[in-house]
Amino acid sequence: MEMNKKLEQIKNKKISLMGHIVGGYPDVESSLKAAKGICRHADFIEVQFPFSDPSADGKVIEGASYKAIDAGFTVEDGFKIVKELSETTEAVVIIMTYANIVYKYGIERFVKKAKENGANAFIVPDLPYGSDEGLSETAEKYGIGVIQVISPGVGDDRIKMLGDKSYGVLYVTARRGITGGKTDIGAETEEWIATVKRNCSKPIALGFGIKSNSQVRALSGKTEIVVAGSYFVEKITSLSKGSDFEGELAKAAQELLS
Amino acid sequence: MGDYFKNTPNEKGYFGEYGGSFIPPELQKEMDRITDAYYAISKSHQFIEELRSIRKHFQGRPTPVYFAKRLSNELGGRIYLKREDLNHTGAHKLNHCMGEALLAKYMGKKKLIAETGAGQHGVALATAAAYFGLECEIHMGEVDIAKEHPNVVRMKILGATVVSVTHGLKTLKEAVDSAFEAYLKDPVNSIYCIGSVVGPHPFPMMVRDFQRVVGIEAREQFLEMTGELPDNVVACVGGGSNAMGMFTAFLDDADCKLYGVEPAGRSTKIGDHAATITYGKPGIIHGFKCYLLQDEKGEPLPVYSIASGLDYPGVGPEHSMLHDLKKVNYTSVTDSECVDAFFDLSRKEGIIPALESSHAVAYAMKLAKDNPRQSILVNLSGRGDKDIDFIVENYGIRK
Ligand SMILES: Cc1ncc(COP(=O)(O)O)c(C=O)c1O
Repeated sequence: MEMNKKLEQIKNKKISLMGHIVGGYPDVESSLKAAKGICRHADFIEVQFPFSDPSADGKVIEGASYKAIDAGFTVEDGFKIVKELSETTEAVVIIMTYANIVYKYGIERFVKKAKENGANAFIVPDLPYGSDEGLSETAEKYGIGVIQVISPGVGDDRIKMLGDKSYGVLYVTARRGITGGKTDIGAETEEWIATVKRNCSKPIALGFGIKSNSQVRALSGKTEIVVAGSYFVEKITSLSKGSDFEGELAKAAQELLS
Repeated sequence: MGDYFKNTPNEKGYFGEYGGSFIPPELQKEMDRITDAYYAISKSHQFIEELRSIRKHFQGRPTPVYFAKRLSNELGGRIYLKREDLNHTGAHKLNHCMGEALLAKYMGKKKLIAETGAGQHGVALATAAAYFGLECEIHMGEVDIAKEHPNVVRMKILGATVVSVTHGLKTLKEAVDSAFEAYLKDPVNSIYCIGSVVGPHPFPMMVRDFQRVVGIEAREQFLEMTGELPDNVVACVGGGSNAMGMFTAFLDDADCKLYGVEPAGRSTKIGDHAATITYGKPGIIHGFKCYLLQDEKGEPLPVYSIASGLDYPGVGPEHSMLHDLKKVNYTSVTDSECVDAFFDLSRKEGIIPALESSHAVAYAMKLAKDNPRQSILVNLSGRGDKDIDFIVENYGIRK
């Protein structure tokens, strides 16, 4: 679904979910099914195009990325997943990847292909605004955009600037470091969210270490969107070949929001 | 020349189209701090004096330039060696480590974090940390830990913590990932002291600047010894720090030919070499743009070299630019040529070179044979004590 339409739709929702899967893990078909399952409950879905050097990711997503690459994942496989999700679900489909995947493919070619296949946004942690090889500008030209990522430690001025440039929502990590390990939603997180809110009027998507419904409940009313990645990837890892990836992941998404 | 260093890199850290800073915003903030601190400090009299004194009294600089007489007589040509093997800790790496650690001290950092391939950078940084009383954490691939055992022990004796990296190919690239990850956890109290002229701005510039001492000394020494400039200047290129240190002194000398020697490994097949500029294409890795050995999807390719300090799929952005500008000739040398040079220099001159530096020596020997009238200045970036077990086990002791 188109970003602005979705933001209108979730306006009165207590909290929305942004799910995250690694394309091609454990195989293209199963990762697509898993994503579809998540989308029964999620308003946003990130499809990670795996890169062997995922600098923002921890062991879980890194491990899944290695496996997907070893299994022969291609960018075209990623676009196939994106297309299917954009046609069969109500979620905003976001491509998450790393700089060299986009750069090597060609920035404009990548954006054009993404748009054609129904992607609505990009998250590329190592192509931040101001040093993005023209990704934001190109995406804008095609009527889509780049979601900027910020972490604790970023100053007010930069939060304002990146919030302003970010497409639709601002991706905020709950803590420093990389994806994976659980985050305690405590006073420190709340203070950080408050700092972001003071400097950015867009909805925020809070991620990194979201693994339980108690965390989601604690965040309800404080942030518009929660992001869960390693949680879903771990769930996928626990399933054996031939499992009902769609059904199981739908259940996992529902549990998170319960 | 003054202009070259003023404008290269530009204020955003670009060397032509290479370099830059492809990192998340919170890390960018720390890099900006390091950049600001570096600019401020590198103009401070106190900093310059302290570094100068360290170089002289602690590192033993200037290192000599030495005429390799027996080797030259045998091959033709005149081969001169800039003896970075005589720099304290046995390689050029200490030049930038002392600079980075001094900067860390001025910035109030408590801990130095870095990756290492051959262990030379790790040993140098552990040495710098001990000198300044800072903590030190070195990340090293499991494969390299086994291969470079003596350096691992040296780091530990110097008080550093050595973290074994067990993912992927378990070598230099993975060590960079791991060290970066550790740094990301606490960029306020720690500083990443990168081991070469790579990574996001300001590292390629800063490490180059700290290494310039090599070229500045060597040019002056060579002139004093021979009354002229060298016809050829040769250095090995992994990330490219020793080569940048050397080349920057000769960029204006149109008659000096500069040669960067990459590791051609055991074959031209993927995964058998690390000749980045020779076979790579521009790409983005570890926060900067450079020539990169990568597949059609943009995945960095596996790399290999007999010299652990050279097996990296990327290369310094300034080298990438100098290649495009044709200011430096990038060429390569195989494992077997490297081993030949290792023994030749040991036997003919009584100097056991590091396997990394042996690549430069091997190419200089080729040049000498082909150009008997010319002079060749080689950056002998390090000594080979660390490599002797590996060589004896795999190649035996040559007769
Ligand atoms: C002796 C020696 N020379 C050269 C290198 C390669 O590094 P660079 O290309 O940055 O000079 C190393 C790296 O470990 C080294 O130990």
